[in-house]
Amino acid sequence: MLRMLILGLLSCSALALGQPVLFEKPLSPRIANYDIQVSLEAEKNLLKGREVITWYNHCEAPLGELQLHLYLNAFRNSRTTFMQESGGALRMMQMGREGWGYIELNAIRLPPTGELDPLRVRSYQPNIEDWATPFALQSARDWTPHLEFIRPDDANPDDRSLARLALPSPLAPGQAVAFEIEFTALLPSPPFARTGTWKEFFFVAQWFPKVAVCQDGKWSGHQFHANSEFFADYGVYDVRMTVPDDFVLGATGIESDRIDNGDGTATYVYHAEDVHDFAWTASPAFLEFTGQAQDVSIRALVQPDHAAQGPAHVEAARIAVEYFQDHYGDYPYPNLTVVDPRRGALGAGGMEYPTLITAGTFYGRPEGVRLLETVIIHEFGHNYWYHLLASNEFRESWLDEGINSYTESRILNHAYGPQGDQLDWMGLKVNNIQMHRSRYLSLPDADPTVRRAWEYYNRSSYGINSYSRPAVFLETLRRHLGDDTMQRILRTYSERWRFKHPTSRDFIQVAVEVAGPDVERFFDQALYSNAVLDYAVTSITNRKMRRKGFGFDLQIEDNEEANGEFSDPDDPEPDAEGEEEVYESEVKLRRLGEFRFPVELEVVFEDGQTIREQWEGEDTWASFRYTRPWPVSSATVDPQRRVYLDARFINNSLTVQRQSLGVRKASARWMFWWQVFLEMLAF
Amino acid sequence: MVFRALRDGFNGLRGQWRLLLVYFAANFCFALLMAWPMNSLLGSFAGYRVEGARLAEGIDFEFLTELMEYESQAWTALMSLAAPVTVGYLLFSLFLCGGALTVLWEGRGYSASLFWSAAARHFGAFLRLALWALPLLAVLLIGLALINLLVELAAGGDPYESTTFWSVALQAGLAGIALLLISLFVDYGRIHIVTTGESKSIRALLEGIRFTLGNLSRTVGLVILLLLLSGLAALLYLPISNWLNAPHSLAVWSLILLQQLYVLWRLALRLTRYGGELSLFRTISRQDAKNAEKKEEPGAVDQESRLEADQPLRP
Repeated sequence: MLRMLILGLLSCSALALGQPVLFEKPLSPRIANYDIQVSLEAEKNLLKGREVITWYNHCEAPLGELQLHLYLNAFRNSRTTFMQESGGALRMMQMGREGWGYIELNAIRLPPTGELDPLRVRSYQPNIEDWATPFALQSARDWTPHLEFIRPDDANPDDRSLARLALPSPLAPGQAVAFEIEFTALLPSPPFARTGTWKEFFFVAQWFPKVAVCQDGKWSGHQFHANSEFFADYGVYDVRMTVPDDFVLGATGIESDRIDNGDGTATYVYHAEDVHDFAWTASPAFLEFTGQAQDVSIRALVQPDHAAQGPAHVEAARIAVEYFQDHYGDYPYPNLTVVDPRRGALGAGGMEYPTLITAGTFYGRPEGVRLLETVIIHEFGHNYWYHLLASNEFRESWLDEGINSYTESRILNHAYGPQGDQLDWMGLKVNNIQMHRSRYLSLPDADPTVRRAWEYYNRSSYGINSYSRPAVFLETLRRHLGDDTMQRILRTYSERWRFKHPTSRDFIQVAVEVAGPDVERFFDQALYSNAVLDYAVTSITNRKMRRKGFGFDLQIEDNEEANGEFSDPDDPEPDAEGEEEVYESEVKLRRLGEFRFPVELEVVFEDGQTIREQWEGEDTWASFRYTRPWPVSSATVDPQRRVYLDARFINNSLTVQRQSLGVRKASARWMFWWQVFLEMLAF
Repeated sequence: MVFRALRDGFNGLRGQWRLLLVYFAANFCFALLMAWPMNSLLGSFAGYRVEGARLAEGIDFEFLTELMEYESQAWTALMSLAAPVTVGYLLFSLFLCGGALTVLWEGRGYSASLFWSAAARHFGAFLRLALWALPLLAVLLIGLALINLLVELAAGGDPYESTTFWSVALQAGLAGIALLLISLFVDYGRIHIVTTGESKSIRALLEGIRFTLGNLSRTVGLVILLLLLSGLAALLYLPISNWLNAPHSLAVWSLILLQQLYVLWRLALRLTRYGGELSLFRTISRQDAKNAEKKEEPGAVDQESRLEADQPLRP
């Protein structure tokens, strides 16, 4: 009841402040709410800001402290946890030698009373119109000394990316606290690890003091790691950004006002509801392209370098929005902004924030190289798998990146398939899911999929287990269950768990509910073990027999066991005495990995007849025997390649005859390339 | 004159099938050094697999991924052969060039003793000539760096991507033209060595430069014509090879035959280039000689000698 009252008050407050109301009924719990005023000193790459955070204890336990993410401090020096883990390099970008970033909290103020009555707390909500007069509550208590940096993940004393703020008295569940922070932030230059500035381009992310998530009575705050992204609670954001007046600005949420300050600056007022983060970008060079995808308006802020690709930005976003809305549920926000990072600022590229994503392209990009489309489709997907669900990316990154990589491959295939949906250039045709499998094969068993992001064997293993392996095992499941069932799983998960911080177990529960109990074991293996799936046909044996009359006394005439080798069969027609030659054939399969999954076996006989068998794949091996007039010529496990997770397709089959023709053709082609290459080089 | 040189180049090749065979055999054998291990690798990897049969339809990405992933050592070993095979072929083709130019210059048809002895005789000089061309490559690199510098001066340290893109395209184009010119310098330097017995490679290179630049439209025109013929062959090859992509025996063997015919055509064009360049050199040299005589004896050039100058000369 109290919560409903608070939520109602929040809505009323927004109305009272003149902010638009996006959703009549809040979509999320609105736990962490921010009113921020920030001004950009573009020459110095500096932000000066002040925020009022209104935070509701939704944590089922009284809390004596708040935890605050101060993620720009990850770039403070070379000794931070992030810098130590990343070595100063991330996403093919190097940290600028002079481009450090930081955030300093200049002052923290609590309300004058220790009583944290939620109803009274709202009265401390600043009126956004009063920002000209400092919000500083006249009798507010300076609470700055109560801030303490903490390092729960690695005890690194040089890391200041997470802090705790002791409260004057425990905050009971259902109660709220409002407090004010003044801060100064320096942006990394060039942009690094998603945020920063280069020349006139600013991409401002992870930039304000932000409350961590409290779950089940415990804080789940984490330092900024090289391998992980984020975890946050939903809320309402009212943000005023003052920038030079020739800048074009884009941000999370919707623009509710633009005020020309008359001093060469302009203040943009943005409002966002039921989001868990806020990022913005500004540049005087942006070219604006717009479009519409169903009920969502699309705005692309594109660099002059890529003006010709502006429509392609909008089109890729349209494809993504429409596919997601058609398949995985409603996108509740009215808009999406796509940001094209400046040349030299690719550290800000390929990232997602609520209703605001960054892409990345290059001048002269051939049409069949679908890098731009892939990035936009991928980043928009995060608006579902992360922004609408907000799972914990520190602990279960696959729930965002993995599911998103899978849906990215589905959309690309839908839009540009069936062959070459990712790359279709100069005769090369590669699908996105093939790229994921290729990456997965490079390190298939270093870690289970689920583990804390900074504890993987290495960064490659984090990437594989967060992105590629889940994409491949979900593709396996799709091929096993069918498109409709798979889509229902994802749609049910997306709709049921919106704004609720789901875990892997929640996802599995949905999958079991939709597809049946068998999938639970699949996910247990795929998520909580490093098991590799590998089924192989290991031998084919054909024995020629002579069958007399109508009896079944089989006499072995020729006992030649073949492991790929086989002598040509004789004519199997019955001879004059009523005897006929038959073959007793045996096909043996092995499970070479620990991952168990049912597979199909296709056995082909020399007369072209084909038999399909099912094997549950539980034992370490299985044998299939046949007595037929013709010998087995080949056997293939999973002939349709439904089990896409299989680490070796090459051993899925065995043939009795050597496949010389194909080998010769491939070798001849290789030789031809070399002949032409050598001839071209010769002088 | 350029078309006549081209015609002479083709005519000079007529009856020189053994010369062409030598070139083809060399190209084939060196490529085989790379292909034989690949054949073994593919045979062991996919010889008794359905994927091996599918190779007759084409190579799929998944097959390639697994080949690289699971046969990485064999793949690395194979690729470690690439550099020695390439260098070996470059040296051997340099060696053959002396024989080919001599046979084409003499115009008496292929003779093994003439070919191989000339190849051996000129190899040292040709190698030195090639080494003398290296400073020209260095000049080329410096020139490309200068373009970068000019772009930086014009567009600052933060040029638009389009500026960078087109400057790279310009650099690539200029590098192509420069490499073409350097190859012509070397070609005519070698012709100078073969035709005059010049022993100083640097002098031969300078002669090559003088000749090429002095007759730029003709020397470059001839090569451009040959490049067009090469491109035409590629345009013919591609659709036919696609048409022959069916996974059955006749198509596969036809494709292999077509591939070898295409290589043979390219090698024939190389020898045609040598023949055409020799013809051009001969004609222009003779014209120069006549012009020199004319200068010494004004009005002495009669109709007969003018006609003679238009004819390709034999030594």
